[in-house]
Amino acid sequence: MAQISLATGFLLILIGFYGALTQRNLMRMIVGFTIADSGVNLVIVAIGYMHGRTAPIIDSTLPAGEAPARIIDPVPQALVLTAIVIGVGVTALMLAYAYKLYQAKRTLDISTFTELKW
Amino acid sequence: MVSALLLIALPLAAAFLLGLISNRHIAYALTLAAMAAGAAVSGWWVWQLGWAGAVPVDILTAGTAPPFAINLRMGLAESVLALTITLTGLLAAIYLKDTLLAIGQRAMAVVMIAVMAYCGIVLTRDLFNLFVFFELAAIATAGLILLSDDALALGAGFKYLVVSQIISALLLVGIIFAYHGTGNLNIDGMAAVTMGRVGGSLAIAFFLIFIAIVAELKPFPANGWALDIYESAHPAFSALFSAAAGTATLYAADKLLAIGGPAFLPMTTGIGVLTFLAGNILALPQHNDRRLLGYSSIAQIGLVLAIVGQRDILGSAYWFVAFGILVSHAIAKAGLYFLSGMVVERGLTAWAALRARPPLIFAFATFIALLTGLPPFPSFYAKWELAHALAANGRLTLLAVILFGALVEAAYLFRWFGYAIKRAVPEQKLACAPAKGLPTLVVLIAGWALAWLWGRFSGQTNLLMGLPLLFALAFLVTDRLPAWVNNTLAIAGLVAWFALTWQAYDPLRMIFAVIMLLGGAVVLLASYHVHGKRPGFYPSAMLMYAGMAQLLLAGNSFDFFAAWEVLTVGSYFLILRGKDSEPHALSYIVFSLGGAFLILAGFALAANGAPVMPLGGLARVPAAVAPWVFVLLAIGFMTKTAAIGLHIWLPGAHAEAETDVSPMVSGILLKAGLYGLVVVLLTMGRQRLGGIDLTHVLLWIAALTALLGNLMAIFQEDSKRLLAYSSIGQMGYAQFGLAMMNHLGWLMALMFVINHYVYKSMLFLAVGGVAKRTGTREMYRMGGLITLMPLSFISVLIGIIAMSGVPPLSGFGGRWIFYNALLTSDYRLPMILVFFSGPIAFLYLFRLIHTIFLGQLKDEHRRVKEAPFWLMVPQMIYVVILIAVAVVPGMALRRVDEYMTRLLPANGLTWDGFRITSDYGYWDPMAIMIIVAVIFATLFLWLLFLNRKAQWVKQFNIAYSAERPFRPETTHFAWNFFAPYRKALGFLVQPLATAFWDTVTGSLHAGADFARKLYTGNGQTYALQFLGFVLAAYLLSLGV
Amino acid sequence: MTTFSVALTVVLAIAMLGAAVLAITGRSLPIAILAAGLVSLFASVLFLLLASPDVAMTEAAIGSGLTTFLFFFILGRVRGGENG
Repeated sequence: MAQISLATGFLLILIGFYGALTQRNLMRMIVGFTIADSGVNLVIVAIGYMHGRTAPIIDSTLPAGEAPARIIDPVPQALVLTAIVIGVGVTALMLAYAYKLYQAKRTLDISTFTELKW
Repeated sequence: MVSALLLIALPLAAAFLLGLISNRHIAYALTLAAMAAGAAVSGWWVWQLGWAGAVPVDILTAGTAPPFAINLRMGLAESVLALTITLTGLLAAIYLKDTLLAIGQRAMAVVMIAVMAYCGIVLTRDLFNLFVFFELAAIATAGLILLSDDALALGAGFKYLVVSQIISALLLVGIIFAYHGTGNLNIDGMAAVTMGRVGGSLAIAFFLIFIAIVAELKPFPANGWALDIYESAHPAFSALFSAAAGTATLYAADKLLAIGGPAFLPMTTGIGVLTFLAGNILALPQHNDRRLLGYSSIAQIGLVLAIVGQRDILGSAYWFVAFGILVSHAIAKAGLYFLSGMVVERGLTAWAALRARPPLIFAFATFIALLTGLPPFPSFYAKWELAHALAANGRLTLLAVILFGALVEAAYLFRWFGYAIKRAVPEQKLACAPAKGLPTLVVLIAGWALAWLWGRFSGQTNLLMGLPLLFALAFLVTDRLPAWVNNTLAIAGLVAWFALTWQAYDPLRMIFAVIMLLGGAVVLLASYHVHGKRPGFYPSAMLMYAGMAQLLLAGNSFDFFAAWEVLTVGSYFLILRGKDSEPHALSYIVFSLGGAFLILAGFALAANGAPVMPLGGLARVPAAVAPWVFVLLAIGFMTKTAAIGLHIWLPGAHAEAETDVSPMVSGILLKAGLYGLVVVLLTMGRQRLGGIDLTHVLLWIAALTALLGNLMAIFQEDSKRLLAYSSIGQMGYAQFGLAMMNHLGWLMALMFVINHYVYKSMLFLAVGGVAKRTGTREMYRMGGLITLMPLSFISVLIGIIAMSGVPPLSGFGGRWIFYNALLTSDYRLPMILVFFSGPIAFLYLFRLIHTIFLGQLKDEHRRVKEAPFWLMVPQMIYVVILIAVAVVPGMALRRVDEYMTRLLPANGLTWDGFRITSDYGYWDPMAIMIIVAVIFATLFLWLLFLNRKAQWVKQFNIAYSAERPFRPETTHFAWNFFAPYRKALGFLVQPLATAFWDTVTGSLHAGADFARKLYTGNGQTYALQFLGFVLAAYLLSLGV
Repeated sequence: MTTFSVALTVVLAIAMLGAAVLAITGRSLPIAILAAGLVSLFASVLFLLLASPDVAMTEAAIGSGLTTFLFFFILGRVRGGENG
């Protein structure tokens, strides 16, 4: 299961980047990046998964003493939570850029933003 | 103990607090206070760790040790970096005052978050924490650009975010796989697991992490997005981006290498050096100042990355070298961006507006010197150590590439400086404000303070403690005083220095000392002819003399090289002052720095692993390396003496320089190159390379230089150019004497050094005086000035008699020694060439006096007066000296001859009263003088007697048939004086060397123009280039 | 149970990839945004299967919900440019 998720994650990254780098519309590029971010998150979580083990939440069914032997690696989950939030932050920032650029240029076509070059 | 966590906590707290404050000015004050507090904390730590002997501290967040919690570390390196970042942030915040107040608290908060993020990158020891801080920095960067609301900047910011997304994806994937492989997120923990070696899948994971961090450093070619930001963002922001972000990221890369181990060092160096080279070459065709600074930033950071990749060979010098270049870059870039904020237009030539405020020109020069690695700045010491480490470990190609990149950088920076000094001031005035001036001033002072500090920490002399250099810098203060005050101080200084040090010189060096110091004082007498103020003249001139003074006292390679660069820079500023000298000064500094870098390479190679070498150590260089050292040093010195092929800068530089500067550079400065050759030949003697005796090669080069230099002089129409080409020829002569490697040859060369100084200075002053009065330098426009300028005529007459070697003056003695020397050696063909150059020299000397002073007076010159008094004073002194030396040559030569006997015992001269005897004959100057005087008097009286019935005829009493030529000069006898010679020998003076060097610079420019089309402006293309770069790096690292 | 979860994983994977392709190639932008939201949703279900309930909740709320909302919020303000 982890391998399938891993593979899916990588494929999502590829699809996301492919979309981001071939689409000319800014919004579509951001959509592509969102998908790639999801892919990265999936990869991280998939790495942490260990077969046959359960979620790292200590409650009545999982006392603290038995935890190390029965839970999956909790660290990637912590990482992914941070990564999700950072991802949404950057997405919001990019959307703000799209808005400002549309206001300034009246277009969302990235191939027109080439005044600065060489 | 101030907790280093404050560096993270204070900006964060202040940023949040800003939300509660409604008054913008209070908010701004709070921002500045928070930044200042951060800088204070870092400064406190620097002091504690550097001087007060504290030990590095690990800060455990969450109270638990890693790997279960994140830790931060504050060591000496971290504290210095944090200080750099926080200070840059503070200064940028001050500079951004108007922008921040206009946009409001949001921008202030984002600036503080940016600074906090950079500090976090430096302090953290946890890999994921590093990622978070990087993302924070990226968001803050993009946020600042977004808030600035500039349409061009918006596009740049979005392109940045696009690449940043890809970088963070790679980083995250790399981190999680690295975690999976080592079970650890802590950098030190991971390093302990991998133990400096990564294999298999861990290698790919580490590669991804590493390449992502390196990508943040904007390596070539994956850096198009960064250039757009540099070009369009607010300059203070670019300063922050270049100085602070680059600094933090470089340290992150350094931290990571502890995990990856030495296997990744070659890739680091490769990317770094490629970026350095490409960044500098692509900067050549730039016209936008901020974009040029962007390319330069990328290049410099690439250089530091390459140094990071060399940490295995740099050993304990690693931090000294890396920080030397890094802080020099940070200060210089911040300063230059701050200056660009004051210039309203964006063209490079618009920086001419800086001339409105001379301190800004001084700042501009300082920043350029910091970037190029000129003394006394930290980058100079760092460059020295780096060169020696590279040479000691045999990484010579790398050294050559780095020096080449540095030369290209110097070329475009000094070209820009030339624009600032010489171009027309644009209509838009400077946009100065206290908020802009203060950060620039702070940065400037920091640059000089660090120069002193680095000098103290290097193992070498602290250059800023040298008295001559300090004396020269003192003239910056007295610059506002009238010229005559400065002149008196300068002359007094030179004489006093000579008086202080004269006992330290052996007879050989004494000759050079007399010429450079006392001779310099005499030439400076001519500078009294300028009234009013001369801003910038005295600091430049004294810098040159300081360099020469320290050159003579230099006992080891470091002092020698430092003095060499100081005199190069001083003379560049001096030459730049001429009215039309902009392209020539650039040509001069590029050739000179190229030669200087060759000398550096030679010294580094010769030092054989040691960081410095006494000059005498050149004699003990291992035989395998010695010929190469000889070649490098010889070529380096020959760029200063303008040997053929390397001579194209001299005619322009010397001819276009000011009237009193030409004697300084032609009469005195060229001798520095000869001094260098003296040192090399004395210590290394004859060297063989590939079976060829290198002194033989030197001999040929000298002979060709003498011949071609003199030949080119005879075809010149401009009198100063004629003298300049003549200097080339004469230097060839002197080099010939040195290269003969026998007693008389050296004696002749040294006698030559004195003679040439005297008569070249004299001729330049005379010609300069004539040019001043007649308004032209072209000889065919002059004529008949003998009656109006008799003193100039006398000085030129004596000068050319001396120079051409006709008895009774000292030139004849020189020739006599020279012919004796030739007879004691066994070179035939070069000898013939040099023989020819003698009469050829006479041709142009004759032309000089004939066309200017004899013949018919032009109408427009009927009212000229004699040259200014103070220009005549040194000339008259020289006349006296020439006659004295002619009669009593032993004054100067005798002691030198005895000294030479110690070094080259064979074939000396015997001194016996007025008579001098050699193996082949004798020379009695007094007798010659008397004989010549008698002959001259006899002929003169006979001429007067014969012409007692001569008729005076007015100038216009000539009959002339009706036609009037369109180009009157073509009928003037003085124009194209030597036309028949040109037909016969003109093929020898094809401007081949000029064509060659033009091709070199032309192809560099063409290559740069072609390569920069990579940066198409399309953000997606940039992202694709980045991915291509990652792929290429990975494939190459597999191959390695 | 495990075969069921493996099968579910495969189905989810295929669905995610399909939605992703739709997001990239979809002709209208709102469809593309919704497809991206769908990718996030499926991902959060997959996280549940991978024994990460907190991550699943976060992804569902933020990745699916908040991001899609932000997209439409901005889309409303750039009407006219989305077909550029």
